[in-house]
Amino acid sequence: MILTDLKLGQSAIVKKINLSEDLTHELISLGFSYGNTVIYERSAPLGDPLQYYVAGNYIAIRKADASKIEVELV
Amino acid sequence: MSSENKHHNNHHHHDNHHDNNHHNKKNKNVVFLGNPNVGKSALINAMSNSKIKVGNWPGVTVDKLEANFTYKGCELLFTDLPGTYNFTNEHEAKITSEILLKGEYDLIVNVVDGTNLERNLNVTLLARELQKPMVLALNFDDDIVKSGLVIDTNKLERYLQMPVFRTSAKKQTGLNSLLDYIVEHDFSDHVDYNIYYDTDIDACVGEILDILKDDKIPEPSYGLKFLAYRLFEKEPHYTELIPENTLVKINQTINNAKFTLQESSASLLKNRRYDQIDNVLKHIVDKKGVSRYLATKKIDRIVLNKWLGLPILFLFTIYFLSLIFNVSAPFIDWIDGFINVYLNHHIGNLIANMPDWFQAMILDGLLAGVGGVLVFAPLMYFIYLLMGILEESGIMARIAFLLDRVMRFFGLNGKAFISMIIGFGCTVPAIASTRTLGSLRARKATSIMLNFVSCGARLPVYALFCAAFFSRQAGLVVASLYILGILVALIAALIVKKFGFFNDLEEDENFTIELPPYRIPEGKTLFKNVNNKLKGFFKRVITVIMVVLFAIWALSYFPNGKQEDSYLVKVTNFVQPVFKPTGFGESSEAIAALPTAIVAKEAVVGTIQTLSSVEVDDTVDSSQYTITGQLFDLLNATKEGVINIIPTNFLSLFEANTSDVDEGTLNAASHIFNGDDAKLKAYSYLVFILLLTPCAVAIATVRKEFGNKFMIQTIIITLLVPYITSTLIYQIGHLIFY
Ligand SMILES: Nc1nc2c(ncn2[C@@H]2O[C@H](COP(=O)(O)OP(=O)(O)OP(=O)(O)O)[C@@H](O)[C@H]2O)c(=O)[nH]1
Ligand SMILES: [Mg+2]
Repeated sequence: MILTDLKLGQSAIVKKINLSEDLTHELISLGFSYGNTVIYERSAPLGDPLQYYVAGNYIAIRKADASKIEVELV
Repeated sequence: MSSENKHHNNHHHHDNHHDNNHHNKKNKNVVFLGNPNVGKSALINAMSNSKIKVGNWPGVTVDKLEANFTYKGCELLFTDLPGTYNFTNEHEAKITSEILLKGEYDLIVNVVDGTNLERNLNVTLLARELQKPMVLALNFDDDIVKSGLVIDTNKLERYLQMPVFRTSAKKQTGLNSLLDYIVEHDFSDHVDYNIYYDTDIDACVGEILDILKDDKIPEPSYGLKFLAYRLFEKEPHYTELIPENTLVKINQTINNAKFTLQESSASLLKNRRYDQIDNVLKHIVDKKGVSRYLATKKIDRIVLNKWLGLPILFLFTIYFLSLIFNVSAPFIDWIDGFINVYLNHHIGNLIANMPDWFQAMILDGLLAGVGGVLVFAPLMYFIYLLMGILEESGIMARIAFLLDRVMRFFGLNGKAFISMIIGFGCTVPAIASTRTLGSLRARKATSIMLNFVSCGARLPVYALFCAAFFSRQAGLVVASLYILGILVALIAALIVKKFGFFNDLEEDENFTIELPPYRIPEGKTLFKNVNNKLKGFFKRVITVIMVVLFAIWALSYFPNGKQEDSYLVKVTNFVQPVFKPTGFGESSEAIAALPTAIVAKEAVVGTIQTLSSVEVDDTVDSSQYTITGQLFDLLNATKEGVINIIPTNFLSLFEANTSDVDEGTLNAASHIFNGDDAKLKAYSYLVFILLLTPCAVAIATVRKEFGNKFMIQTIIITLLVPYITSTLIYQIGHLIFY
């Protein structure tokens, strides 16, 4: 499944990121690294971007990018 | 410190400073490295008493900044760097990685937020690969203690093989131990951190290192080992430095290694670092404490709420704006009285026997002009104060989050809005802040927009004209100007997007932002910061603006002391036809003020005051001429200011600034536009000032950031846009209302 499939408050483990190399590295540095747990916190009022809790931080990323992150429910 | 021996065993070195066994070197070069928003700048400020900008959002520092000072006889050069998550070559992180890789420093101080180690230690592990002397500053010690988090620093030192210092930039604790360590140690020894990923990776990197040595690749400033790791990650920036045949061997080695994982070698190390940190933190951190997001979570539930988020943002903005006006209004009135009644009276008496031109120069040029600008110091003070609170609070990143979707429509991302908010304070730092935006296209587009965002220096102009022309509708007028500025900015962005300007430049729009915990601004730092900015305002007034105003005064006084015959009026008469369509062409004062606006927007106020003959009301209460009377008035103004913090009626949010305008000279401007459409002319003029080329410093910044060509483009755009907009407003307004 992908990150955008998560419901509010649900958590999952990062499996794979299918984005450009630069963005992938940035996301890993922000906490979306292989095996880390991600919790879906909320979406912005206009539906995008999405806010996640990962590696001890709230991180916002765009829906389009989140949909390229493969995860697995815990 | 006990565990770190590397820095102590320097006895075999042939170092002639060595007999002087402590201060081995009299000057030291220290760089500060860490994730964004961990307090690097705050820490340097606290240790060196500097004034580097600090704020609670990622990406405050966007350039290399230096602090030079002496501590215990040692000359220290501290270099503050933009925060970074890794050593990429993108955006502002480029500056950081370049300096770190060059290696021209004695020590790296790696600052981490102690309440956020899981993420922060990544950079630590990466930087260790440079094999440079390093210490860890475990910052936010106050928060660590408050949240009940227990961190075993001894174990952390042993694991990282470097000294760890607990610091708090906010409470100013632990700073001296760190400084003592820096001055007392010799960092000239080679350090050798034991880097460990796992057997397979380490073996593979070892082989790469051997290949590099065999092929006699010259040792780069960042060391062969660091290079070997980057080649293992296949980072393009490094692979391109390696000869083809060597690279082939290296890639073979990587492909032959058996990694039983799904990850590519490009992200392997990054993922491994997280695993290692997880493991270590299990042993050194007792997580029984409360989460650093505890309060934040509750606030965000309302502030970022799906339905409430945007309305709250809107109301908050209006309240914020009105607050600046309402709280400063009584103080402005007071200073106005002080300068134009009290000082004017006493100085006038003092120089009554001097020649006419001298009296005119002092009273009209200096007192009315320069004083006319200084009257608005309270307005500047409150906008700086509120901007300071906003920047420290954690709201900035949230506004970027709320509005990213809107900005995307204009071809930008939410971070562009952070720059726009900074621009409400001052355009200059706002232009520099565009560095966090990524693509040059986005940076240029945002920089164009910033010219139209109403900065603090434009407020005095609005205040002056509103007092003179729009006493009832002042609130509406100011709000409409702010909104118009944003609208024009957005239209500009849309044009840039539609016509694909700057599109020859790379296009990589994405948006990732960290939402930091909310923080209550620390009073002392906040006020120090605001006072510094106010000092900057005073400095600008008594230097550049004063010179400009004297020039304006001289042009309007000579050749014969009559303004009607002056050089100034001759020139303005000549250009008048050009400004006829905008409605304010007939007023030579208004036209004369335009060039001064390009120097600094506040100068408009001074110019208008200098050129309008100021008639002090003779009927003023004579108590106003005494210092006790003035102090009494100040007391009243303070009381009124405090009361105005609470809005009594939403519709009257802006009305406080209309009180008592007739007491001083705030209505001097009312003579410069006449006729039954005077209001429309005044509005057209305000729009022109709003959209006109921001100021000399902003233009210099544009040039520094983007070069000459873009600066000239900016100037042309910011001359045409106000002209066209003002003309439209005046002409259409005329059709509708007159
Ligand atoms: N409670 C507390 N707050 C701190 C401490 N150090 C810094 N802060 C706050 O943390 C925020 C970030 O501080 P900065 O100094 O701007 O951080 P930076 O690391 O320079 O950030 P960038 O320039 O974006 O890389 C500010 O709001 C500071 O007031 C500390 O020790 N304790
Ligand atoms: Mg900083």
